[in-house]
Amino acid sequence: MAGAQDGGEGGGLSRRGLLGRGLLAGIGLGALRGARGEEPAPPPPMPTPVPAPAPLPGPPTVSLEVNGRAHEVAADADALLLDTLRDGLGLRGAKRACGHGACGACTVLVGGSPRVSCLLPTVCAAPGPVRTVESFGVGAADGLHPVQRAILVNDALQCGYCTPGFVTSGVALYEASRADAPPDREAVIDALEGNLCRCGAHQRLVTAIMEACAGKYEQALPLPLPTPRVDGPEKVRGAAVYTVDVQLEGQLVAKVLRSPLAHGRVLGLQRAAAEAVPGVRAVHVLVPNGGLLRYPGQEIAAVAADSEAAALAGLEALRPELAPLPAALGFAAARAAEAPPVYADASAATHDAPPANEGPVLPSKLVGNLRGPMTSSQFARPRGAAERVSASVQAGGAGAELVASTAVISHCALEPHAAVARWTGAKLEVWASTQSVVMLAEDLAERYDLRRADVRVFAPYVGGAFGGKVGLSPEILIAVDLARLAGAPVALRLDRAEELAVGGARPGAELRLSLAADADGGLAGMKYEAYADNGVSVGVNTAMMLRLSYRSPHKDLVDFDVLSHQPPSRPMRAPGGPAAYFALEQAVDMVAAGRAEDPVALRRRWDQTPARLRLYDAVDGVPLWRDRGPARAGSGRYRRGVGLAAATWFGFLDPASQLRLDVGPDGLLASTAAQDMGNGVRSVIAAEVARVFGLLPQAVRVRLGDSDDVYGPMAAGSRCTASLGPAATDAALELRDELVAEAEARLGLRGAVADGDHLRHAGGRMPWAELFTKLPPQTVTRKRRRDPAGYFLPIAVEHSLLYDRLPGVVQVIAVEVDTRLGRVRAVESWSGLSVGRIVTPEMARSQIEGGVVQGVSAALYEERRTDPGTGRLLSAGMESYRIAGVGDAPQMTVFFDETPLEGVHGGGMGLAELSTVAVTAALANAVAHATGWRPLALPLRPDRVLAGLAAVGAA
Amino acid sequence: MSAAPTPTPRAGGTDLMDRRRHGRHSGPLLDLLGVAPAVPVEITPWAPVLPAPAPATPAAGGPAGSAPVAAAPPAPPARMGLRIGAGVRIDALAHHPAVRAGFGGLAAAAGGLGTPQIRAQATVGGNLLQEVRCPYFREGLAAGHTPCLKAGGAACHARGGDHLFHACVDLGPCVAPHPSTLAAALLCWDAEVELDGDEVWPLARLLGAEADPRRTHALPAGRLLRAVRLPAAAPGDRSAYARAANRGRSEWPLVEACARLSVDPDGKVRAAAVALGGVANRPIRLPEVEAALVGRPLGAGLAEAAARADAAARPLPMTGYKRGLMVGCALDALERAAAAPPAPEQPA
Repeated sequence: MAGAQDGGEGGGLSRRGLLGRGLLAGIGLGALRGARGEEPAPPPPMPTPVPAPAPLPGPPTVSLEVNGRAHEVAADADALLLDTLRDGLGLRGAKRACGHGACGACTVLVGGSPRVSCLLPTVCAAPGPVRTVESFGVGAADGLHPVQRAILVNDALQCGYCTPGFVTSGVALYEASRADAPPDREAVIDALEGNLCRCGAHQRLVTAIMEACAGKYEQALPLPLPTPRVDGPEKVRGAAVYTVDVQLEGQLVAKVLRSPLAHGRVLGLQRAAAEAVPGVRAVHVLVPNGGLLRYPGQEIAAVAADSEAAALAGLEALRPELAPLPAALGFAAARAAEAPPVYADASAATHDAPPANEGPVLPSKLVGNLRGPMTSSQFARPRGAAERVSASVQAGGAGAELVASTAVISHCALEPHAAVARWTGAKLEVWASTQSVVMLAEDLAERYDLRRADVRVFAPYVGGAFGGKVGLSPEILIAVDLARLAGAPVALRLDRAEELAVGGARPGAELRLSLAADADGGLAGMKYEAYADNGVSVGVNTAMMLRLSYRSPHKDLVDFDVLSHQPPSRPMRAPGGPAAYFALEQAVDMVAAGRAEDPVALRRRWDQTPARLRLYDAVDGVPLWRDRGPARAGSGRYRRGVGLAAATWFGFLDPASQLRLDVGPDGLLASTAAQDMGNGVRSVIAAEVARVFGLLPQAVRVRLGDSDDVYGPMAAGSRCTASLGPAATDAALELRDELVAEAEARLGLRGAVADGDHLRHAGGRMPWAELFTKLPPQTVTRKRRRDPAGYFLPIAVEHSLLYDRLPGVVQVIAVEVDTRLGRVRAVESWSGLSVGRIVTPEMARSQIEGGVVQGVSAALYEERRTDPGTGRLLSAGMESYRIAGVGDAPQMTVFFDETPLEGVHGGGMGLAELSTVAVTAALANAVAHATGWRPLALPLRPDRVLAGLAAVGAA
Repeated sequence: MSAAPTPTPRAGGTDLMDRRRHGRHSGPLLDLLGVAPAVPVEITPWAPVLPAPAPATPAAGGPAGSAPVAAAPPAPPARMGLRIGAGVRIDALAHHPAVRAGFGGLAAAAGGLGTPQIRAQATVGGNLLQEVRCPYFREGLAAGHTPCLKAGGAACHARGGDHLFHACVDLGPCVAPHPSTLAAALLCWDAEVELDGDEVWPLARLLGAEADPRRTHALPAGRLLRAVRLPAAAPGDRSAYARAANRGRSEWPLVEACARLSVDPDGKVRAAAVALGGVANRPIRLPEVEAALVGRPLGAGLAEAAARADAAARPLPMTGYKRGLMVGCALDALERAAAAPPAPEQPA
C-alpha cells in the first residue's frame, strides 16, 4: 500500500521514508478498520442535508467592555467569557487548551487581574473592563508591549499556542510590579504558575518576564524585529491562526460519541432520534451494529450541528446500546494466559492494528496478547549473550541486571487535534492541526477517490504535536465525512479529555536488561527484553537504541508488544528512545559503580561513536559534572546529586523536499508544503535564505502549511532542518546568481557581483531590496540534493561505516531530593549535542531546552492513570495529567560540538528527538548519586521516592 | 424536582462551572457577586473574640475531624478578630495585611492554593463549599462511569479502584480528600461560619459529612454562607502552612498542614493547633500532636510531636505512603510556625 505512494528517488528510501506505511494505514484507517474487523468502510454517500431549523430565541445580553470598547454580548448564565470573546467578538488570541483552568492558555485580564476565561462566566466578568492579548502593545511604534518584546528577544516560545496566556499573565505582573522593585525569579515563577507550556520554553519565559518587569524593554524594538523566530511576532500578538481558530461561513460544530467500554459490541443506536434533535444537521455512524469496540474512547458515531449544545444533545439522543465483553486491562493482567485476546490472530495483529511506531510493522508471532519477539537486527539473534553476561559476572566482572519501567504518557499538545473540512462540489479543503499536510492531502485523495489536485490541506500554525499529529487521524475523517453529509463546513475540535484519551500516547514499558563488563573492562554482552504497554497498537521498537550504543556483537535485543483494550499509542518525540536509554544508561552507571570507575571513563571505553567521544571530552570540563562530588555524600533533608547519560539518535531527511523562492517588489517569499509545529522550520528556511543574501531572517517571508505548495517533508523524525535547509540554501544561491546575471543583462550593471546585503557593480552598489523592485519577478524551485556520501540510513549500523556518523548527546542533570516529602527537583542541566552545523543556534537551544523539560516532566510527573476495573481514563484533565510548570524546569545550559558532518549538505542534522532521549536516564542516575537509591520506575512520584529512600535507609 | 428548583448560589464559579461543564451540576444559578453583592466581600474587624485555642487533648478530640470547639470562655473584649466575607477573593485574603500579620498560616494557605488566575477569581465561600476533585466524580460522566456516591450513585468507585491520591484516614464512605485548603487552615483557629439569618456554626459543622455522606459540606440548600469569623490572634501566636506535592506549584496537595502555636511570654507553648488536609474526606485536627507540644519551649520537640501526626491514619491499599507525608508535612508546618514572626500586639 505504501509502495504505491513511494515517489522518492532515494532508492529504497521513499518520500515518506521510514515513517511510511504505518502512519498512513494505521492511526486513522487502521483504527477504524480495526473497529469493524474488516476493510475500511467506504466514505458515506452524498445525502440530502437535513434542513437548518429556524433559529431559536437568543440568550439575554449583557454589557461588557473589552479592550476599551463597549459591547452588548449575548450570554446566558452558563456562557463562558472565553467563548464570548472567541465566538462572539472574534477575539481568538486567548486559547482553550485544558478547558478547566489548569493551563492558563485562555488567560485574560479583568480589571487588571489575570483570570482563566474558560471558567469565568461572562455575566460574572461583566461589565469589565476585560483586556485580551490583542490589546497589548497597541499604539507602540512596534505594536508590542514590553512583555511581548521580551518574549520575542528571548525566544521564549515555540509552537505559540500557550503564548497569549503567558503574555497576559506577564502583563499582569508587569503592571502590578511597576510601583515596586522588580520581581525576582521566584516571584516571576509564582506569577506564571497558572500557565503551562508543553514545548518547554519555561526558562526563557521566566527570564523574559523578569527582564520586562525590570524595564529592559521599554523602548520599541527596531524593525525588522530582532527575534530569531520569524513567526514570533504573530504568536506573541495572538494573531497566529491555528486550526481551532478557523471559522468558515456556515461552519458546523461536530461532537463524537465515544465508547465507554474497553471491549464490547455496538448493538444499536437511535440515529433517527439524533437526527430529529433541533440544530442537528448530520449524524455519522462509525461503528455499525455488531461492530467491535476495542478501547475506551473509541469513536462510535459523530454529530454535526449548528451549535455545540445541539451537537451534544444529538449525542445524547443516540442512546447507544452496547454489549460489554471481557477486557484485557492492566500491563500485567493483559499478559496472563486467560486474558481476553485483543486480536484473533497474528495476521490481524499485524494488519489491523494501528502502529505505535514509525516505520513498517513487520509480521511477528502472537501468543495471547504478547506479540513478538521483534528483533532490531536484520540478522539472527546472537546466541549466548545472556550466558556471556552471567559468565562475566561469575568471573568477577561487574554486571548490572535490572527491570525498569516507564508509564504511558500523553503527547498533550496544547492545541488539541482539530480539523475543519469544506467540500465545494468534488473539491475538498481541510484545515488540520497536523504534522504532515502533503501526506494528509494524498491520503484524503486516495480515501475519497479524488484527484490529488482537488484536495487541499492547510496547517498555517500548529499548536504542538510531538509526533501525535501525523496522518489521517479519526478527527479528520469525521470532519470530512460529516461535512459531506451535512453539505456544510464542519469543525471538530477534541476537548482535553478526548485529547488525553485518544490524542496519542507514548507506550509504557517494562525493560529487562542485563549486561556486564568482561575481565578487561570491555562490554561482555547485553541481553534485553522490552515489553511495551501498547493498547491496541503494535510495532514498538526500543531495542534499536541499544544497538546504536556501545558496539558489541554479543547483544540479544528484542521487543514485545503487550496488547490490551486501551487506546493506541502513537509515535512520540524519539519513539522508543527515552525508555531504552532509561534502562541502558542506568545499567552502564551500575557497571561503572561496580568497577569503582568513573562513569564517563567507562562510556569512553565502550563507545565508538566519534560524536559521543568528543562530547565525553567536553563534559569532563563542565563544572556541574566535574565537581559533582562523591555519591551519597549528603545527610541532611535535601540531597543533591548529579547524573549523566549518553545517547544517540538517527539523522533523517526527506530527499524529495523542495523549496520555492519567489522574488518581486515585495521581496523574498519562500514556500514549501511543510508545516511548523513549533520546531522552527519556518525560521530555519528564512535564516538560510537570508544568509545567502546577507539579510536578517525577518526580511524573508515564509509560507508553510499549504499542501498546494511544492512538496515539503512532514514534521517528524527530526528531519525538517536537514531536508529543507539545504534546499533553501541552494534555491537562494541559484536565485542570487540569476539576479546578478539579470542585473547585468537588463539593468546594464557592469561587473555585477553579490556582496553581502547588496549587489556590487562597476558603478557602485545596490541593495538587494532595491534590485528586487527593478527586475521582473522571478521564481526558483530547488530540491534537497543527494548528499555526496549517499543518503544516511542507520540500517545494519554495526556493520557499516555509517555508524561513525551518528549524532550524539551527553546529558547531565543535577537533582535535589527532599527526603522528608519525597519530592525530586531537577535543578540544573547541561546538554551537549553533536549534530554538525547548527543553523539557528538560539532556536536550537530553545528546542533542546524543550526536550530537557519534557524529559524532566516524564521522569517526575507524567502518567496516564486508568480505572483498573473498566480501563476508563482517570487522568482526563490537565490537573490530573500533570506536566512540568515553569517552576519545575532546571536551569539549563546547552553546548554544541559543531564538528561538521562530512558529506552532508547543510552540514547538520536534526536535534529535536536527540535532545530528549537521555534526560530520564540522567535524572535517574542523579537520584542514585544523591541517595544511593536506584529509581527504576517512572514517574518518580513522592510515594515511590519515599519507599525507595526507606529501602536504602536514606529517608 | 419541583417546577422551580432552588437556585444554586454562584460566587467566583471556578468550581461550579467546571462541574456544570462535566454534567455534574445543572439547574438555575444565583449570582452573588453582582453590582450589589449578596454576601460580604470585605475583611473587617470583628468582636467579640475567642481566646487562643484550648489546649487539645486526645480524649477531647473524639473522631478525627471534629475539632474541639470550646464554648467561648469570657474573653478580653478589646481584642478584635476578623470577619472574612464569603465573597472575598482568595488572593485578597492572601494579601490582606491583618491576615498576614496575625494569621500567617492562613495567608500562606490562601496564597498556596490554585493558581494566580484561580485565586483572583475564586472566593473564600466557594473554596469552603467546593466539591471534591476525585476523577471518578469529576471526569466520571465523560468517561462513562456510572455515577459515584457523590454523584448520586451507590458506591465510591475510588475505594475499589485507583485511589493513589485519596484518603489515608479512611472516614468513609467517600474516600476523596476534602478539597478545601482554607478549611484545613481555618480549623487551627476554631473558626466559625456565619450563615444568612445570623446563624453561626463552628466550621467543623459545615465541613462534616456526617449528616449525608454524599455531600462535601452541610450547608442546607437555599441557605447562604455569608462569612467566616476568626478569633483574635493573641500576641505571640505564630502560624504556618506547608504542603506536600509532586510539582512545585499549582498542584492539588497530597497532604497539607497548618500549624498554630500560641506562646506564653516565658517562651513556652501555651496551646497548639495542627490540622491536615488532603488525607480524609474532611480536614482533621491532630490532637496527639497538639498535646505533645503544650508546655514545651517554642521550637522544642517538634519532630517528636510530629511523629504522632499519623496517629489517626487508616490508609487505603494505595495510600500508605501518605502516613509519612502526614508526619513530614506536620513537621514542616511546625518548623515554619516556630520560626514565623509572632502576631503583633493590637492597639488597645
